[in-house]
Amino acid sequence: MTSSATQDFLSDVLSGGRIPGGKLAYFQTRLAGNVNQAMLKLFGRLERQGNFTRRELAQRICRKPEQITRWFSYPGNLTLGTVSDIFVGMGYELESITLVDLATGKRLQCPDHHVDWARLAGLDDHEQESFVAPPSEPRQRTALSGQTEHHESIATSLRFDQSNKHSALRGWLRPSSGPGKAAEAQLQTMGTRASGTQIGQEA
Amino acid sequence: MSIQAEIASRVAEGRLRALGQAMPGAPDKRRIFAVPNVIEMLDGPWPTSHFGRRAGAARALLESFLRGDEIVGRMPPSKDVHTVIALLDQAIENVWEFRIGNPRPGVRILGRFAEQDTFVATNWVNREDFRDPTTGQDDSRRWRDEVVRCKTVWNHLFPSYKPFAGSTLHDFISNARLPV
Repeated sequence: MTSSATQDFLSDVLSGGRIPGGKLAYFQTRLAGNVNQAMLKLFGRLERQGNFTRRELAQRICRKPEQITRWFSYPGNLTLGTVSDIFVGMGYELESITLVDLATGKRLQCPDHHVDWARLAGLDDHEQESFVAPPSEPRQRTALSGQTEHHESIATSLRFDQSNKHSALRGWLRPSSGPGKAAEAQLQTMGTRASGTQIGQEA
Repeated sequence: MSIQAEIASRVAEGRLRALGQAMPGAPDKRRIFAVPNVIEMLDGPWPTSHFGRRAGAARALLESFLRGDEIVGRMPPSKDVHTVIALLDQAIENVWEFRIGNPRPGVRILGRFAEQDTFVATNWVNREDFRDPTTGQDDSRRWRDEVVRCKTVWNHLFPSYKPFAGSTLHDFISNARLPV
């Protein structure tokens, strides 16, 4: 489709008037599709590692396995709560969203900061380096020409080194490894570090 | 003449049109060709807002296929799972459908594969049109009619070519998976 055709398609959206239901549905489905792709990509990766199943995910978020199948099979209208449950159930958080200005193509990362879970969980510096930090500044592109980057940003957010991925959090996530004790140990570590910092600052 | 050349001829004749992405950026990794009737449904104008929503959702879903997104598909016999694309029945010669489920009632776009990752859309149907208006139940005769329509359109477009055949979902679609 030519760029003029794209402008035609977007004219209703950019004109400032009422946006037709068809265009709204188009963008709704695109968003649902992007979320669905992230879910499938992550689940597929965990599945290939051989340590995660549909049944395990279902148990972790208190749903039936058939429901998991339905959610993953089609980019439907999942609530934000359900999306969060699915990702957390797989050991991840959907942290930020990339907004794309349809008129200019400029991108905006929201929020433009991220919680350093690795540091909070007490991972050492070496392990932290394995994380690919999201871009801190919104990237620019020419109008409507950088849609590829949108998909890459989702992929990048999932591109962790699996050998180190949330290794300190696994103790919390895996019931078999004693989540209570692991969590307590991590909290103690965090508390110790926090206390140490405060003492140091006061001194 | 190869099936690609046949498709190119049909496009030149105006009997098929290539579906492009409304929002450019990601390159097309798969191809969809559709008869003008299907393209008109996708492009509008639409008679009602509800119908427009169906069409908008359908376009977004088809563009996801074009971009090469991971597609969850169904091949018989697991008929109870709602997937993006499904082979209706191998007994009816490789007729597939894209299933647009939101908003409800959805719409179905029927067609066949010319080769791996190349889908030819032949007809579309409102989901409720498969139901018997008196009972509200799915009417198998209406399904059969649309399948026959799909095969008829294909035979008119490609009289000497059978649709692509395969034994697994991956034969038809790269980067596809069966339901989780």
